[in-house]
Amino acid sequence: MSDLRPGTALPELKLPPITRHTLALYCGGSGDHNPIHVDIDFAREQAGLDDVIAHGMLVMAYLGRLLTAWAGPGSVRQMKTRFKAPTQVGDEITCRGEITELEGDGVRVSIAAVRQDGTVLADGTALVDSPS
Amino acid sequence: MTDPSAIIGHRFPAFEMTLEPGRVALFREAIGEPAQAEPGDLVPPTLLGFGFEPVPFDALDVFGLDIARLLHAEQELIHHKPCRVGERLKGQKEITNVFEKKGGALLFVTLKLTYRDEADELMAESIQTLVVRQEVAA
Repeated sequence: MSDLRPGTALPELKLPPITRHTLALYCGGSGDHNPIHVDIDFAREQAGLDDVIAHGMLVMAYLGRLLTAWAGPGSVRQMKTRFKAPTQVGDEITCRGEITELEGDGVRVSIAAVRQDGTVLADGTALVDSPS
Repeated sequence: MTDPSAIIGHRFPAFEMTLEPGRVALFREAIGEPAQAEPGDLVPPTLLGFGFEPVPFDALDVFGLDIARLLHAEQELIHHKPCRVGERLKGQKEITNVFEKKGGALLFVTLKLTYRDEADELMAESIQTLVVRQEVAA
């Protein structure tokens, strides 16, 4: 990896639009069975929402993919994310990262997941092994 | 709730679990990766974040809260050593912080989920900050 310095952007990760199928798969695959993510009746009647919302951890998993696509499987030592806006069906998420600091043999990266209208859905930081 | 902070330090029952290939493959499929996982493969970094543990919503029972009012506010993951498919892990979750904002309209609960490997070495930590929307008396 030639250009490891603050300000360097990671290759973007663009995801297909979130579908109800995406959320059903993540419900079963992650073990997070909160019906607010998959059951529109529950979301409306119990939670007072217009529709289901995506798992925050699905968005964080996409940010994890951004990092491992760049630095390799098992490279993520730490990551921290704030969930800033609910992710909805139809959202097209792009994950971005930028090096902020070199820390020994690791790299500190700022990360963000943004949808098509520019809304930041989640952002935070990560510490990953330097990509070789 | 009279004193949420009295719950800080509460520990949930310890558990053990194996990172079974089939479950990891399903997780990978769910995040848009190839649905493959062989023993020894490194797992996706957020696998142990929230939900993979046997009882993800046990904190709600402690507080008597409604899952429909729950949101995930913040999440941190720390990996102390590589985590691989097939590994047998010991887990323990505890409540590390509880506080209210907006005059009690929002209840924040921070949980720390710690994973150790079979040699009892620290493998990973998941720090989950959940927020519950509460009714506030007018």
